[in-house]
Amino acid sequence: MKMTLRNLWIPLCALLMLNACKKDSVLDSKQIALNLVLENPSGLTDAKLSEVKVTFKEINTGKETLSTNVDQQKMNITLGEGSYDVSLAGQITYTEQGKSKTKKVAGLKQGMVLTGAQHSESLALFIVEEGEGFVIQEIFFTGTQTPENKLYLGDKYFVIYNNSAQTLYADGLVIGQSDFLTTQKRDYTPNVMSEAVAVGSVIKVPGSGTQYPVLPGKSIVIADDAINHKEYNPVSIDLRKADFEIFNEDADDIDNPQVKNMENVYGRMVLHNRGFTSYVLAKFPNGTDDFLTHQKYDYSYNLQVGGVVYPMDQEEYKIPNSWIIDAVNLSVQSDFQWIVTDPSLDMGWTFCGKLSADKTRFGKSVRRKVLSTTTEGRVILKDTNNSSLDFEAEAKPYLMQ
Amino acid sequence: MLKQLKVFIVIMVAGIGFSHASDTAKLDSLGLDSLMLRQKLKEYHAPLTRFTDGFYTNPAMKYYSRNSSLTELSLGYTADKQGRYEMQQGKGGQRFGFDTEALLKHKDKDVLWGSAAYSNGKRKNVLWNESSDYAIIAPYVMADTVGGDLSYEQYSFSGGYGIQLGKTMLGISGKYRALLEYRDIDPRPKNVVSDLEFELGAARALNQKYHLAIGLSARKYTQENIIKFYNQLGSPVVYHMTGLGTDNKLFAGNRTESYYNGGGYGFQLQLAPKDKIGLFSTLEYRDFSFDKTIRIVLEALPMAELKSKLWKGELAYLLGDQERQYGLKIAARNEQRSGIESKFDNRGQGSYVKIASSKNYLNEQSEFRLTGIYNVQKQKTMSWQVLADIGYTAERTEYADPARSMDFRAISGGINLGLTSVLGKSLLQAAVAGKISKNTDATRSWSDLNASSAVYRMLESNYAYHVSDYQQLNLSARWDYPLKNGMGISLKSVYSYTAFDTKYTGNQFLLTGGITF
Repeated sequence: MKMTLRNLWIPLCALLMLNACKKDSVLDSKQIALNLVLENPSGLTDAKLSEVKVTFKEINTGKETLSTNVDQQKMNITLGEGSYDVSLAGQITYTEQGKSKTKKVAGLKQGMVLTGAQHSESLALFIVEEGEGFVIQEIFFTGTQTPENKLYLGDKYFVIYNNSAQTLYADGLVIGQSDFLTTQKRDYTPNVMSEAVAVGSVIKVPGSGTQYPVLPGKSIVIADDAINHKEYNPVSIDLRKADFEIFNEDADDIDNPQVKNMENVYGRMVLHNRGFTSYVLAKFPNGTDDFLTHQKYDYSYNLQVGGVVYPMDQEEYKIPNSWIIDAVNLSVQSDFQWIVTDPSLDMGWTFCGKLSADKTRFGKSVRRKVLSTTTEGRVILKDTNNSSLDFEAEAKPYLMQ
Repeated sequence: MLKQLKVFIVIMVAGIGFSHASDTAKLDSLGLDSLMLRQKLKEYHAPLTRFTDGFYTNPAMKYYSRNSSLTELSLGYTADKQGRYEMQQGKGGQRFGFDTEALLKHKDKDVLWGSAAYSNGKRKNVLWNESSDYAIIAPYVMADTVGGDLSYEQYSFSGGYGIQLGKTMLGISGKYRALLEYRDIDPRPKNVVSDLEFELGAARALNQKYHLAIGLSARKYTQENIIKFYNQLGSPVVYHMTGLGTDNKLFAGNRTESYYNGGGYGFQLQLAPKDKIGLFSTLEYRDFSFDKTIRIVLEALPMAELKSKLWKGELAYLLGDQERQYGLKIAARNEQRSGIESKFDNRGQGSYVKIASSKNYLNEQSEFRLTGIYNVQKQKTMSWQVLADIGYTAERTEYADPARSMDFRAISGGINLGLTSVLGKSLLQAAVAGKISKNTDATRSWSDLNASSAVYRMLESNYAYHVSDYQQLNLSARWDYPLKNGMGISLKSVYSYTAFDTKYTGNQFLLTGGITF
């Protein structure tokens, strides 16, 4: 009997102790060797990169890895498995008409999937054309919340700012709202994003060309409804002093006759109050008719619902990138999938609220940051074509202060 | 359907009890009913019985766990409030419920047992966790920064049967737990848990004294965890936590449906004496894993898989006779939990595509404990017992990316003095116990976090709880009074006071009343 017990329990106890001591502590972290080739903007002579910083952001963990290790237009780096958004900021020096020039350069690639042992990828760079004309200073798109906790939506507005040292005319300025959502990536065919921005609605500042001057450092306000909203919601804004208002005759809209209406070029401008769309500021070089005649954009895509694919066709308009003065992508962290402009227009995005239908977003706007103030007191706003950096997210609306 | 099943099980458990009561009633004519009931209560609630219970969990060994049959029904109220606590578990709560337990033993033939319990309670101030059963599914819970009290209802049923066939005992047992946990204000989680386990066992007499038993078990676990918000204006961010305060950033927001689907198996091996004197040993292994999926519109995404491996072993030796027993028990336990998490890409064609998975999370808990007992149990006069234990516990948790870790070890020991006395027809049992825990070593690292962030504060608070030294005092008393026909009434109260290393304290109070037969 004693031998039986010993024979049975000694190995069992040894097994238990061995298991207890065994360290199953090998945490996986599969690493991938990435070879990133940096492609300079085309048409540059003797181009040379400097002060390059590349940020790799893994979208599942949110982890950001920064590297400056560029050699011969290549970057070799080891990263963990995942899906990465890659952004580059730096400077490029090149020769133009015999003279050396240095400009800011940037690049963006979203959804770079790293798996396996090694991966090669190219990153197209573009020169950052910093804005010196009109810029979108503020978009108040969220609306407000009444004391009864109801939504109040008519008090939205845009502020357009003259960021230059010259008087500019707002006449003919257009604001386009993107047709695509930043929260819904689809394979739109044809893909024109490198040349134009697809728009679902467009409004235009009226005028003959010199009717609405905007002095350097001054701005114009374009209101959804240019009325005193405080009469209906005490925490809202008095927008009676807006320069323009958006008015849709065929809808149940309010028109303040004291304030000039924006021209409705295409569609109906309704600001997405969760911030899923993007906005561009542009001027049509050949007028509205030319735009409506030549910039139609018929595209198709596949709508996937529960694994079933439905082919869809849509007819909208597009604004060529070369006509666009400024662009701002909006989204929310919880649902962001892509930016809906070419990165050369805007390689980032800004927000109010962290998720779709975030109740903390009301009464907040996105406002462009101040870069500097001149000796004459003129404020210069930051415009590096990266809304993530240029804008203060979830800001207190300027007209609410 | 579930309701009918519950009613059936309650009736079945009560049936076991009443069939036993009819047996007991036959003794009334002999005038021994009060004496018999007291004797059985002494056996069932003796510290010595609890000392050896772990060696008779196999359904094939259940026959030897008790010498007599007993049924107990009780209604009870529990309240506790802790100054130091793990945020995800809450700082205490209150519970009202009833428990029914019955065991019917036919000498040299078979044993039938069953239990049914219902609890209705509230867990208070549960933060960073909107899911249920944190100890099982951690760290893969849904969470937000709002939290609050969680109400719950829990039903649990168990039962089994063991039969003697010559030198062989065969047994089968099953248990089922259903939990509904919810909150009536935003955020409104509604968690439905179903936990089912079956076990088969076989034991063989090695000689006149010892039995060797083997048991095999299987488990099925599911949890449906859905959060709703009724506020028209919106909701806070819902996080899918992934360990040591990390979360999957891609799904943070308003993905509010999680499903946990798990299963496992286990085996146990025991060697124990029929008369509870001599050598006792048990070795147990349990393997359990579950998958967490989240649902987004019509897509079900496999977020994570957690695998748990638990080893438990106990070895004891008891010496003595009918009136006096003394012995030692050494117990070891080790559980390793590892989490394999998925990574997704959503920059593709509009839907989420799983692109990789890796083992990011690891948690290991170990415990070694040495317990000694000295028990004097006399039939008519006062009985008393002393239990003393000393143990070592260790836990470490690691997360791969971002690299975070938490590691702590403690030694703890306690002493329990118990007294059982017959006063007239009453049986009185009382115990006083003290326990001291001293942290010996602890480290943590979450240097990637900003000290002002909510996650940092949560981790620091949990860490402070885990590494706190504490002293604990437990007082318990039970009164049993036999009535007619072999029935009795009981009243039990327990009070526990914990003083942590700083200004924090904890209190726990329990009061139950019931009938026994």
